[in-house]
Order: sequence, then structure tokens, then C-alpha cells
Amino acid sequence: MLRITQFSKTYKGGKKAVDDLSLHIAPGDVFGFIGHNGAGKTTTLKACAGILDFDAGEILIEGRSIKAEPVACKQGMAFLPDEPMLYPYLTGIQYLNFICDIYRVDGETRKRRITYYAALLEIEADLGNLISAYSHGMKQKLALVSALAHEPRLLMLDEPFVGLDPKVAFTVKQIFSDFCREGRAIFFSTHVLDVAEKLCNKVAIIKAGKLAACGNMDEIRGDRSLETIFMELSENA
Amino acid sequence: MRNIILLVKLYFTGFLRINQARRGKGNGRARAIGMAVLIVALCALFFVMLCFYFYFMGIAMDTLGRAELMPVLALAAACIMTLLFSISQVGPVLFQFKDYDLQMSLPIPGKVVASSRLLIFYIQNLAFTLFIMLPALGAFAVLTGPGVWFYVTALTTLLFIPALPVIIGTVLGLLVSLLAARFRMKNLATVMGMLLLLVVVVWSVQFSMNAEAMEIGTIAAIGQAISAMLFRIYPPARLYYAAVFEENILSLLVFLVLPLALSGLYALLVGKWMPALHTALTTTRSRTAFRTGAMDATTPLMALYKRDIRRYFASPIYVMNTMTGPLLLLLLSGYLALQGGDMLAALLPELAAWLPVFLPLVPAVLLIMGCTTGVALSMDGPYLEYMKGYPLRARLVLWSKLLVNLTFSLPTLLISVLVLAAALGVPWQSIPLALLIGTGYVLLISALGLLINLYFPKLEWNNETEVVKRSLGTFLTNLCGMLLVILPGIALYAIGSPDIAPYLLLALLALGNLSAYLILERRGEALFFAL
Repeated sequence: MLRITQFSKTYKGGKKAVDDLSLHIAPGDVFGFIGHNGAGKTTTLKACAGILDFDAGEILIEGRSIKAEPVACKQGMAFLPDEPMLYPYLTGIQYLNFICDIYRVDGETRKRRITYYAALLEIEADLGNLISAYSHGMKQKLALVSALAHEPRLLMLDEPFVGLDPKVAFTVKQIFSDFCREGRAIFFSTHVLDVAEKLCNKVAIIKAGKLAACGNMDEIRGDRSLETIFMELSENA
Repeated sequence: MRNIILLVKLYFTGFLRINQARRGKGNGRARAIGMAVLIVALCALFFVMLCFYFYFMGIAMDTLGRAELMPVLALAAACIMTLLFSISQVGPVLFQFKDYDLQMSLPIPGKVVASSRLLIFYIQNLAFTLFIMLPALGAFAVLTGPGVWFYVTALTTLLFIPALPVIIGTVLGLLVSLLAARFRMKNLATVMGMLLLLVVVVWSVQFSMNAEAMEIGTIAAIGQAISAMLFRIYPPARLYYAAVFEENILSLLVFLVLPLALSGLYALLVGKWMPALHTALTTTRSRTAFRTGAMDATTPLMALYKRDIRRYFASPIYVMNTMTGPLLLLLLSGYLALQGGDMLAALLPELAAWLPVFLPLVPAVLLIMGCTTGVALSMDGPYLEYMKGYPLRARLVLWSKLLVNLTFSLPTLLISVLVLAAALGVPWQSIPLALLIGTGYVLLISALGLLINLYFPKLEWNNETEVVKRSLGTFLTNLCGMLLVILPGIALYAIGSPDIAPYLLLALLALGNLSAYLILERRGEALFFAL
């Protein structure tokens, strides 16, 4: 689904954000991407989403290069940044319509999906309001509905659980599980190790731009907690 | 006072990319320095031009024996402009700035925040006032060699000149914004209210100029009529005149104390109600009973276009800045149609043969002033990065922004050319050619504006005014557009053949359009993703 091979990104001024990173996210994976602040998680996600150019390596989405065929790659995926960047001058429903138009979702299908996910995330009643009136959590829910409305095969999210109340976080975890059961994949970064431990079947830990550990959750964790592993790797690597 | 200075300093640190120029690295720094140098050079050029302009105006006024009216005229012009700026910018600069939440959460009184915003506004307008007044006062000093009183009072009052129009404009703009905030379509109501207020101000200036027929029997009477007109246009100009040129100490005191007192009162009242005012201006009506109804699908281009249209109308300052030119064009066309353009043709009989050539140039100039593409990408600011994540070619995003400009420009062009042609008695055979030339200009400036914005984006901003009013995108689009009209216009007039001129101009425009759209097509994608 997503294959990152020897990916490196150096920012202007010489700071190497990511160095020689290789990952493989297969269909059905819920892949957690863990690292401390500034480790290179967002840089990696943005490069995979085709937002950020990069110097070395290759990123393939369903076998297509994000550099060579960006539009085809983006058509089958959705990316949600940590801070939902939604146009404040649109209403929720206008924004969802806009996204569905961009991803060419027909009228009937979009209505069905939007109604379903908006009801699940308890946001339907607010869709007629301007986004500028939304709270942070509501914006996150709307962004999630917009990502799911075009049924991507790959969902990439940067810190999706920040700002969600416990009930919504539970619903989102359910949605993620269902999503991957249908053969699609999720690649997300998080600081919430507990969520990663319960939700993900695979995990990668990145430190200072370099991959510190990667593999199946059970193999990585062994009989210890993910937190312990993460702390050990953070201190030793 | 310390906190006010800190907040003002904070604002100006980010102003005009000064901090990036000082502390940035690599290309960003070079670009910021390059921009700063370009801005300073262009300002210096305009300043020198103004010096010459006021010098020659001073000579003309001196022949009337009233050279002192020249600085008063400059003062009235600067103050009216400041008043208009203040009315239109009150929302984004004073209340709807990005770091409002941060500043209001700091342990400083609201009146400090209010004062700092007013001071920022004042400093910006002071720069404009100095730009106008210094050449005028300098020219007056060179021409008349005034005494010490002039130098002392002229320099002292200089700092106080913009204060009064800033306060008046701010209060008027605030009242309109608060009134508009009560409507459901708040932004549209704000735009309509602001435009109405601007029309009232412009009309009252026009009315003041025409209030009395000038007695031009004697030279002294001409000077008298001009001074009376200036005092009607901007009444505080009488105070300034009495203070600086009649050495009236009471007038000087009133001129200095009045804006100070009003500023203090403003800071006190607005500071007290700052959160309430901010809430009234920024909150939106919410409903909690939405049900998803039938949904129509459309093409990605149309979706982008609809979003861009909504984005346009969501920003009163953007609308005000770009609607003024087209509105003026329609008003001018209507005025000429009512007044009879024959008068113009009779006044300039030697230009009659050139009317078909110049007919589309007037709309072109005013439509360039209303070009939306020069800042269309900048206005999307932080959202642009995430637009790159959509499965779209950048071409579609750029075309959508072009279409927004064409939506407003082409109908305005059509109406104005037809009305102007009828008013000026231009033969109907010349109208298609005039429309083609006008369309050529509209298409060219739309593409050029977009290219300028791609090369000189301003994606990080504190309020929309910074983008719309003070970004290189706006400035360069207007400048290039004007040059594109003026230079070929002069060159073709110099050739001296009104029969060939329109076709030459059309050929030039075709070439210009071809080049601009080719560059946009070939470089647009890369430039967009490099933003």
C-alpha cells in the first residue's frame, strides 16, 4: 500500500529531518509511527502526502511514485494534519461537498457516507454552521469525515487523537479498525503510546530522523509495554 | 507604556519581512533582503517624483501669491486618504488580528492592547503622511524661504496630522462593522456598509469642491477660492493653516491637543470593551439542527471556483480593495453617459480620432486596480500547503483563481466599453476591436497577477490587510498593469496613426498573453508546489 525506501529529507540550512528511512505499510495495517517532538514524523507524513518535496529515496503508494504520479497517488489516499486546516469561511457541509467534488464522489454516495460518518462522530447537526464557529474537536471530526467521505485506500494522519474527547476517541478507534478490516491501511503518528499499543498491528519508532525500531507490535514489544520500549530506545539510540 | 511599545515592536518585527531579512538564512534571507531593497528603491523613486511634483505645483501656487496653499492641499489629500484607509481597515487591523487570543490572555489591560493596535495603525498612516507632506513642505521652504515659526510648527504638527483622520475613520469603520455584524451575511453587509461610507466621503469631498462656483476674475480670488475649497474638504486644514502660516498659537494648541485627547478617549473606551467588540465582530451565528439533504456533484474546477468565490467574499478588505476600481469604472461610465461625452470630445478635438484606441484603455486601468489574482494565492495562506495534498494538478487551482478575476472583470469591461462608446460617440464598428483590446488587457493582467503572486507570495500574515494592501503582489500587479497600459499607449500615440494603432496594440497584447500563459503553463506547477 505504502512503501518508503531510503527516504531522506534535509531542510534549507542543513538540518537533516529524516535520514534513510524505509517502511512498508501493507493492506490491512494500522501502522503507528512514534517518535519524540521533532523526530521527523510530520516530515515523513507530509512527504508521503505529496505536500513536501524530498531529496533522496522513493515513496510508492500502491506501486506508484508520489513524485512521478502525484495526482494518481493522492486520489486513493487522505492526509489529515495535526492542526485541521479547514477553510473558516465555509460551512461544514460546504467543505465536505468541496472535498467530495475534488475527489469526484457522486452526489448520492457522498450523501450516504457523510450522513453515516457525521452521525457516527456526532457532528451532523453542526454541518450547517461556519467552520470558524467550530471548536478544535469539531474541526477534527469534520476533517475526519472529509477524509473518510471519499473512501481512501490509505489514510495518513498526524496525531489524530489530540483534542478528541474519550467518547469520540473510542469511536475513531472503532472506525479505524473497521477501515483496515476491509483491506485498507492507516499510517498515523502519535504520542499516545497506549492508543498505539492497543490499535496498531505494526509500529515504527523514529529518533532524530533515523529509524530506531520497526516491526509487528508483538515482536517489538515482547512482554514489555510499548512505553518501556520507547523510553529505552529514546535514551539509548 | 512599556507594554504598548513591546506590542508595537512585536508587530513591526514581522512587518515587511524585516526579521527574515535580519535573521533568516539562505534563500529566504536573500529574498527578504531583495524585497526590502526593491521596496525602498521604489519608495525613493516615488518620493523624488513627489518632490518635483510639489515643487512645480508650488511655483504655480506662488504665481497666485498663495504658495502656502500647496502644503495645505497636501495635508487635505493625505488626511482624506488616511480617513478612507482607516475606514476600510478597522476590522482586520484593530480587532481581527491573528494573535488577538494570545495578546488578550497576557497580564496586560485591554486598553494597552487597544492602544498598541491604534499606535500601529497610526505609525503606518504616519509613514504615508510623511511621504506626502515632506516633499510639499520641502518645496514650500525652498520656494519661499519661511521663518523659524514655520520650521518649528511644521515639524511639530507633522506627527499629529494623521492622528485625527485615523481616529475618525476608525470610529466610523467600527460603527459600520458593528452594524454589519448584526446581519446574517455579515461580510457582505460589511462590504456594502463600507462602500456606502466611502461613497459618502467621496461625494462630500466632491460636493465641497463644487459648492461654490469659483470666482476667477482676479488672481487673488482664485487663491481665495482654492483655500475656501480646501477648508471645506477637510475642515481641520483651517486649523493647520492658522497654526503654521498665520502663527496662531491657539489653533496650534487645538491641532495638537485634539487628536491626543481623542486618542486617549478611544484607548480608554475601546480598551474597556475590547473583548465585547472583538466578540461582536468575530462570532458567527450557529444552528444545531442541520440535516444532510440532496447533494449535487460538480467538477473539481467548479468546486475550486466556488470555494474561491466564497473566500473572496469572506474578506471585506479584499472585496473593498478590488471592487473600488470596477465600481469607479461603472460610475465613470454612467456619469459620462448622463453628462454627455460630446463635451469631452469637444474639449479634446484632436483626440477624437484616437478614441477607439483609448476607449478600452480607461477600463483597462481601472480593472487592473481591481485585479484579484495578485494576492489570490497569498490570501489562502496556510491552507495552501494542504491544497497541495489534493489529487489535482496545480493548473486547476491557478485556473480557478483566474476565473474569479474574469468573473468580475469581463462583465464590467463589456458594460463600460458599451456605455463609454455610446457616450463618446465612438463608431459601432470600433466597438468589437475595443472589446478585444480590453479583454486582452484583462486576460494579461489576470495571468500576470498570478505569476507575480507565485514569485512573490506572502503566505504568513497577521491580518488580511497585510496581504491585500501591503504585499508585493498587490503593488507589483498594479505597477506592471499601469506600465502595460501607459507605455504602449504613449508609444502608439507617438507613431501617430490611429488607424494602425489598435491592431498593433492587439498584436502586442496577443504576444503578451501568449507569453504569460505559456510561462504559467510551464512553470506554474513547479512554482505552486514550491510555495
